[in-house]
Amino acid sequence: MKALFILGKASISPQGFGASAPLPPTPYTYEERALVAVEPDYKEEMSPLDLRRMNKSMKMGVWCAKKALGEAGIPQPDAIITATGLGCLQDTVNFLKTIIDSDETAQAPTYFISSTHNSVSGQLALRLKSTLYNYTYCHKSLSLYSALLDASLHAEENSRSVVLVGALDEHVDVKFRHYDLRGWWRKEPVHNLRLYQESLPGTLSGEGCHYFVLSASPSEGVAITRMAAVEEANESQIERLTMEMLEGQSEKETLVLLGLSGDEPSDGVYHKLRRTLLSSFVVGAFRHLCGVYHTSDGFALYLADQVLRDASAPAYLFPEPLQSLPIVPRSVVIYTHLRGSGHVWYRLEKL
Amino acid sequence: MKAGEVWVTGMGIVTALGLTLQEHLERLKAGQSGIGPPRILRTRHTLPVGEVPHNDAALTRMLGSEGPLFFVRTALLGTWAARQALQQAGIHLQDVDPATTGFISSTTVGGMTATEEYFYRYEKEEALHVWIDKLDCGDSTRDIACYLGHQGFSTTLSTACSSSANAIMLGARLIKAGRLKRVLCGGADALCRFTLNGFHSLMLTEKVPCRPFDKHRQGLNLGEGAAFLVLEDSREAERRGAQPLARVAGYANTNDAFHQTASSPEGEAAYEAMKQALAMAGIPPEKVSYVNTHGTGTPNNDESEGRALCRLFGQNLPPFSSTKPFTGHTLAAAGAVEAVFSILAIQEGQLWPNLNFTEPMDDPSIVPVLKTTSAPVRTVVSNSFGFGGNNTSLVITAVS
Repeated sequence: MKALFILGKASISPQGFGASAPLPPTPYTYEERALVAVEPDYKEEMSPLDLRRMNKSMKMGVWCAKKALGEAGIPQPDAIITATGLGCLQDTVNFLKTIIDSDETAQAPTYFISSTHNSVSGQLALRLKSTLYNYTYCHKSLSLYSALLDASLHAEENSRSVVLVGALDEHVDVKFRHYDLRGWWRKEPVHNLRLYQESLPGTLSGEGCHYFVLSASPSEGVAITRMAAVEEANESQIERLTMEMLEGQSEKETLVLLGLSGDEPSDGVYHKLRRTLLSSFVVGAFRHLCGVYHTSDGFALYLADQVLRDASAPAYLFPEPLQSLPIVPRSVVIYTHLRGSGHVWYRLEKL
Repeated sequence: MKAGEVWVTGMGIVTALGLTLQEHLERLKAGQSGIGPPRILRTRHTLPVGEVPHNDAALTRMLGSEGPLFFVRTALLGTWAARQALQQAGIHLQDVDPATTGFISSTTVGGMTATEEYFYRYEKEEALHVWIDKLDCGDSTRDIACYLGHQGFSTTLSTACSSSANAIMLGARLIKAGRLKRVLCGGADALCRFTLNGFHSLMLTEKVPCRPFDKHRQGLNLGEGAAFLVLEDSREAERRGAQPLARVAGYANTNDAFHQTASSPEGEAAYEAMKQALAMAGIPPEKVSYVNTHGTGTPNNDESEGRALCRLFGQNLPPFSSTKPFTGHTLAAAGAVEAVFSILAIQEGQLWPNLNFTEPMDDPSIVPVLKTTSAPVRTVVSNSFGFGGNNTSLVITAVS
């Protein structure tokens, strides 16, 4: 693939909010079962009327998109592509409850409108007055991968195109409860920096929103240079794809970020890679900082880009049993999956 | 690797009109609508809908004893149509390289049919918990892929009512970029109380069978169904001796940037989508044989789309119609359903009628195709527009 240069980015996550900025020396810590985003004061970017009208996903999406475009100095991208596992879920639940509870007699058109999966991308088109390409992918933990694949097609079709790609999923109590019934989460609150210390079933729930401004035109800085994904993978496929990502990368200058989640059945494959292929690499993790959700790879990309810009990786990327080693990273390889499905790899390089 | 043309080598469809291409063709030719009162969907509303006349248990049985386990209706419909498309193309997924084969589905409701049924029962009934995993849009895609034995790239789009037109566009782009040789693309949506009440609460539903482009139209009828096309790199299709059914010659996705749910009065993005798709195909507007419109029957859509048509084609407005009075608005599936109808028009040399039309709108005063008409059809523009201002036009042509 053609390298996709990151011209701007912004994040809202349990680790705070902002465009590009050096990673803080200490993280937000939690002792919870679910991590929720630390949200900005949206008033800077939105009118009181907007704030009343928009749900959390829309607010996070609009805020991050504006910050990322602002950083890139791009008023209007050539394409807007959003990735989300469950879309504007709170308004979906609100509308669903309205019709069930009233036995289809009550009306709630506003909830219905904003329950549409592409309402964040649509809202961005409205605000940016963008009449161009506007897509939304909803494909579980490969939603963001799909959006980035689309961005890479745009880069091939027109090497001057600038694409806005975002990934978001919101915390919703009902979703937390339903997935809890499916055994997704830890039964007891856990300190997020100690998430990987005990082998237990379940992980931490999370949420967040990340937008990136991407261009195929070379510029100073960081680019996504490789990616791969498979829905279902056996061990040998995982090893092969991990090796492909590491091809040509120096052990001294490559940070590997794994999607460890603290969920014992999910983490086996990561620990095996640590012992084998990755034994001489510096290996960190990210989900103890953002929690687990369909598009948590957005947080990993944000983190990877910033680590490369900072030329250092903070110690909190290596909670026990991972080991913090001094590194001046020139590339980051990310590998993550969600409960054994939807495996995805990205490589970012400082170019 | 440079790619060839994008050919359609297989298609599959299920809507209120039937379960096979042949049934659809017969009903289109005869001008027989599939719209009627809901019989399977449990709802208090008596609004006319385009319902597939088989319940989930029947659809599951039709897919075979070793087939679907815990499939939501969206996945059942999608599997049925996708399997047909592969059969017509003569492609066995076991025999092709997964690295060059893709599956792109689309849906707006995903597993909402199960969620709205079981939402409050999950707490008490453990046996239902498996349906919790079925809500998100990507889940039905994964189930369909699993049933078909597809191992390669797959993804799910959800851009409201333009979803499957966008799936076709993405499939064509992946082939043109040389990333894939064959892509199964389309969409599926089941009728559910969620969408029926949603459109009803927006006052966008019609109490009688819908009448697109008619002066007295008041809204849409919701439908359900699925349709998939096999798109193939023409060189690959030629190599294996596959018959092309049609060619995807152009496509464009534009945005109105006007309103979250309404189209701009002049249909700015509709005009741009059609214009750009034709420009990409290198086909001047006067060469278009037929336009299969989005034509939902809502006052806003038809006026806006009508104006865009008049602006693009001027005095030479080609024959056009909305086939939604046959199927209802099948939401995410509509783009692929209507791409199939467009290809049937090319194959059969027939223009499909716009049922229930009696009197033209005031502005623009335009009259669609009123009854099934024989005509040479070489180039079709198929429109699909959705919430979020999302507008997609496909240009589908005969293969010369």
